[in-house]
Amino acid sequence: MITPTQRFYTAAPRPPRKVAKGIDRGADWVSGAFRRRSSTLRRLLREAEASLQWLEQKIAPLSEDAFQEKLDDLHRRFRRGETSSLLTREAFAAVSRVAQESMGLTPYREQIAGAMAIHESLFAEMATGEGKTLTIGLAATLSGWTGNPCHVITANDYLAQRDAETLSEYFAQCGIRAGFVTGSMKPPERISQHQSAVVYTTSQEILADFLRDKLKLGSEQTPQGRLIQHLSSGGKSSGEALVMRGIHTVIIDEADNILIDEAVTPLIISQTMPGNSFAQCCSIARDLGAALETGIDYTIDYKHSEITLTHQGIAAIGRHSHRFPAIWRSYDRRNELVRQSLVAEHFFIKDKHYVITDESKVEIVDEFTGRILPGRTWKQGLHQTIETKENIPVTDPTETLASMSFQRFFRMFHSIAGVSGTASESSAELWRMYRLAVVCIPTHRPVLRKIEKVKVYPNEAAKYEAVVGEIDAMHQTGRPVLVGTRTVEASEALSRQLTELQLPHTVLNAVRHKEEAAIVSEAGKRGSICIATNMAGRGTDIKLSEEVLSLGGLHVIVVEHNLSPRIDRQLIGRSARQGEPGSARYYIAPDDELLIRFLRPRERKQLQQRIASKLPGSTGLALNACRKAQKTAEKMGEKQREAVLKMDTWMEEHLAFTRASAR
Amino acid sequence: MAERQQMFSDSWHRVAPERVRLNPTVEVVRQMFRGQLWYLLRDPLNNEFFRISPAAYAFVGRLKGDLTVDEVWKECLALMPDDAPGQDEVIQVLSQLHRSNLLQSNLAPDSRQLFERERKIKGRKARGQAVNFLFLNIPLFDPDRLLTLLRPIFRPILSPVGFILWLGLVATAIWFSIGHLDELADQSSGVLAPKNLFYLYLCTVFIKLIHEFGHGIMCKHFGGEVRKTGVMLMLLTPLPYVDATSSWGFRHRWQRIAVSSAGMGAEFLVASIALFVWIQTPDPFVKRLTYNVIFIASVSTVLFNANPLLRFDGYYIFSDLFDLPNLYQRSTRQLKHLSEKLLFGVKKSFSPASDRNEAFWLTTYGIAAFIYRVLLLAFITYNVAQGFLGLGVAIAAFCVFLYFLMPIGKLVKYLFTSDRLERHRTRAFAVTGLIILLLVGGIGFVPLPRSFRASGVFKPSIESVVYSKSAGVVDEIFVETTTPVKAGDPILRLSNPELDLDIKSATSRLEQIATQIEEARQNQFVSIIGPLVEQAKAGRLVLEELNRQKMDLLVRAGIDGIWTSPRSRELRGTWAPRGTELGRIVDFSEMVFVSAVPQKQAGSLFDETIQSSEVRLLQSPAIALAVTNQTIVPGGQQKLPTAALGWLAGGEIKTKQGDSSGLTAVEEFYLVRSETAPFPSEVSPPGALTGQIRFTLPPEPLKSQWSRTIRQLFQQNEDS
Repeated sequence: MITPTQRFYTAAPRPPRKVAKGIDRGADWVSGAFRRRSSTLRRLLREAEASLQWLEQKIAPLSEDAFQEKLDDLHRRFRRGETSSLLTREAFAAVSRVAQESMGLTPYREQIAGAMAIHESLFAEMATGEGKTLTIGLAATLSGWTGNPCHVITANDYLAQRDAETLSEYFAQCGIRAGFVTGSMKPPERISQHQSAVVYTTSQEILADFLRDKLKLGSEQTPQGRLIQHLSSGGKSSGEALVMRGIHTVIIDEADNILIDEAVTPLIISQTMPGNSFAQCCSIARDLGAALETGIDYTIDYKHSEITLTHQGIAAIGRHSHRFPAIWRSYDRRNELVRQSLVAEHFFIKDKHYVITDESKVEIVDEFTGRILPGRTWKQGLHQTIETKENIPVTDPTETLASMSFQRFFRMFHSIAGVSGTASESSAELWRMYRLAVVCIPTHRPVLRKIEKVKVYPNEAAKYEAVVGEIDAMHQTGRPVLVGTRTVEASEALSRQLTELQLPHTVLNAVRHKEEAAIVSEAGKRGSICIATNMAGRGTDIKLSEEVLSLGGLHVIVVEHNLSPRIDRQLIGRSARQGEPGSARYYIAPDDELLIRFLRPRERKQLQQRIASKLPGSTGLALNACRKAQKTAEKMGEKQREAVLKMDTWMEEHLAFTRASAR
Repeated sequence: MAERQQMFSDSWHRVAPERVRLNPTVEVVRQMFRGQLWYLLRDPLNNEFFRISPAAYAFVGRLKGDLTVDEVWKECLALMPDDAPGQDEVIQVLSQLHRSNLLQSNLAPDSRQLFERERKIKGRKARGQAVNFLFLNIPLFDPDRLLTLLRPIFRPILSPVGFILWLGLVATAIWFSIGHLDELADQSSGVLAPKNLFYLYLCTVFIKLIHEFGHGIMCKHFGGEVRKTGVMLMLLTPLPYVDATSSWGFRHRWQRIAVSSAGMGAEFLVASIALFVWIQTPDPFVKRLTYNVIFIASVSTVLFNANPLLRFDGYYIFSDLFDLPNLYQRSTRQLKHLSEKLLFGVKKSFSPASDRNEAFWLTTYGIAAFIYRVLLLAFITYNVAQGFLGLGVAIAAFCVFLYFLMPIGKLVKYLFTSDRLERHRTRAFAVTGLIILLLVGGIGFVPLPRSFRASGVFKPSIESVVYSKSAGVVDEIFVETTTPVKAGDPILRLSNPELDLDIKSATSRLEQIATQIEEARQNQFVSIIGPLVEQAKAGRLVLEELNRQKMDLLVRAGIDGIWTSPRSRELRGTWAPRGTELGRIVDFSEMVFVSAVPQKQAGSLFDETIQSSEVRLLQSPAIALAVTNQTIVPGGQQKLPTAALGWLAGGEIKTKQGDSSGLTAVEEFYLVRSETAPFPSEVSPPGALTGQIRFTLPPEPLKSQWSRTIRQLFQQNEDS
């Protein structure tokens, strides 16, 4: 039973801390660099070592009963809010023994150091395959013991469930319950799962639950008001129907993806508004748009994905407007509708930005990850416009009830910690936005990955031909190959080519995300070929047999560079895990999207000529160009995230009278 | 021209379910600007104003707290499909109302936010004061009750009859002052004299008190509130002020103009009364005080208060008169818009002006006010620095920070981070770089003409003083003064009857000696002949001398020139002892301009080559006389060539206080004698031939010129 005061504390999100501006930003950077200094890591490793010794000397000899008593004692001390380095050391030693007994896994030094980093609200960069699940589990136990809600954020529903289930025995032995929340769950089940000490879930689910709870709270937004209401109404409160216990501690797996790449995509709670004649509007807009001419009636800015109507265009739309319903009388509205239809026509490409599911629905594809974002829709008629474009039934537009960016949401936790294989590239931003200092935990065994020489081709066709050749060659040797593509479209195209050559392969992309985990676990078999959009099957190990290891392990082909070097690193990180052998190779062509979007046309042309001339040094030039383009892309992303932050801060300050900004 | 807003907003859900309304205390006034209707919301608690468009008001006015924002918006949309504000606009308006504390919500306010906001507002106010450090406000008390008590007294005065009476009084005063213009002008030189400064300040406080209460009473008269009065540190000088800003909420602009001009009106009234007293009174002390009052109420009022470029009364009168609300802020925005649009090529930049006419006004005002402000600050800084170097340097540093470093910082931030420049950043950088390059190049390398001036006087290079060579009564003057004469021409005649008698007696004496010699010859008194002859010789010499003296009684011109004898009328019939200066013959064909160059400019005089120089006379400033030959008298001087150049006679050079001749300068100066081209015919010497000489120095870039000025400023302070 949660007491009202407990509810008051646990359910009260922390107001997001101000992000340093101006000169303070420099000072803030320095303090971040100080927090990330190398002695932090050395201390963590020392502490982990000490903890392992403690396990060996003090904990291991304990009898079953004495150990249980020890656990209960630790549990109590954490609930009381005790903190000391000795307590932490002892606690980690104890939970390590539980891990040993429940799962047969003895955490090694690096895992404990990682768990300690999480416990200290740091960002632990741990390479793929280093046993992050256990690491997070160890740290989550300590948070769970405190009685504050502790959420572990995983990359997808599958992983949330898998991790919670794998560790459930372990958590039970530690005296706490681990729950998980997935998208398909209904509210009653969610409520019961959220009562667990540690809740495994995805970022979408937790934020959705949080926002829905907020909507339920209505005008009792502030914790103070809620407490007064609760006490004065004899324990009755709208809070009773709340799904969550509130937010306090969060441990995020693949945190760079959630805190950086997906940070600005807002989660939106919406309801459909039926009976709207929007479908008709969209088809009129499409017809009008089709009648307009590029360059005369409107201009296209590809770099910024923008369409601007010219005076002729506006006049042309005006000439027809009288034939249509009332909404077309409004000058702004009709131009906006046509413009949107043109945007949908020119910038939204099927299988790249969205896919059409078997049920004839438009589903958005995350451009960064290549994954489908189920249930998400574009706003203000764009979704309907695209449905019109694809000639599928137009859905009712939705009305937003609440929305929040992940960036803002994760800034509201009292304590936040992250784990990921790749983070150091963004350490400055992670510190500035979330006060997360990145600590690079070393791998348990040395990395044996061989990165082969980059291959550069003058155009995409030549590149694909070479990729297919390499896949074929690898296949002959029997080594499994993982091919990373950026888009669903590319993976399908590559698949067609392989089918032509009768090479057996599996495709892992956003369209077939349900089979992800199964395919990934098969991807390590001898001679298997797996084509995947860049982050498909994240969080699942590609297990290799002895035979495959002797052949040289998994080979990863990066067909084109991603917008962020972190994602490239993630992809090649799938090979050569845990000291196994493995190799990876990058391919570059000047018409890679990264280079088209973020390199100046002149530079790209030079690169093209250089590659075509086959002069030596073109590889280096191409690599440099990629790095430069990635830097530009990162900068643009960062600017976008700053803009969202600015907007959020503005809203918080200026719309403080609304419940959306109330805490 | 306003920015087009989107109908729908992503953030709508944030405000949509709220039930909000305007605070019940908020006062709403309709105002017309440029034929357009606006609604002015005023919070009587803090006297904050908020101007919204009729479309926005149609929405805000419908908020009663019973319907949600979304419901009210849909109602508006149904009623006025074309004019209803877009969702973004609604969010903007609501957020601004909220920030101005004009909005009431059904949710408990977030107290942390409120405190945060108060802290921010305080910080902004403090920064505003710091930026406006030359015009610092310190509120003291609330005069509202006092003014309410006074209101019935002033009611009859503030009426059409009262206005006509006021007009009559001021007109009469102006009429009288025209009659006494010379006298008024004469006394003006004494206003800034050190011993008058204290009285001047007292009178200023008195006048400004009346001025400010003029505003307050007029504001009260039209039903406004006056809640603050206090001390304003204007240019570090404490002066009273009254806050009559509640008049901005008046519906009719003539009322607003009346309140803005009431201060000056009151001043003119006081000045008129003071003028009548000044004319009547014989008491020099009263005369001085009243003169100060007249001076402040007319000159300073016109220069400062009525000037629309400074943000005093004139600004508000101007902005109401020409229907340009928020003139200053909007003109700044207009300039920003113009530079964005014209220089940086930002297409989505929108002018704050509602029409072309207004755009013109905003642009012109923006540029003029900027230039004026910079010049005024430079002027104040320079003058303060001459008196108090430390303070001057402090003010200058502050000004540099405020008007140079801070704008540059803002510009850099704007260039790097502004979203508006997103697609135009390269061009913005290029254009800004070019402008900076041109400015730096212009200041640092383009030589600009420079010169300095000194006052001086024309003196004839040849001048002969006509003395009386023998004593006598001035009998007859042949030549009128200022008439040309030739050498040898008789000018005047003296008569000396004594001399005639002497001649007579000398002649008789000679005759007597001659007779005695004759007698002695006949009587053969050889022994006495010798001495007698000697006597006769001496007697002849005496006579000769006397005759010469008699000849000298007729005074003749020694040289060609113009006979000037300012006292010639008084001379007639008077006794002129020998050696009396009777007048001068001046050769005006060869004049030399003697100018006194103060020490601070002596450096340029000696170290640099003077390229050319020209002289302009005070009586005919349009004509420049080229200098043909120039010599600098080596060694510093202290005796002025004429008193006209000294302080005592209204000149520029400080003279010693004890010296009644007004010829001894406090600081040493250097004399420069310049020969000029001949005068044009219409200039008639010998008038007051004072004038100014302009020395043209070799052109130099502004950078060197400025650094020299600053160096001199420091040197001068070291010396003194």
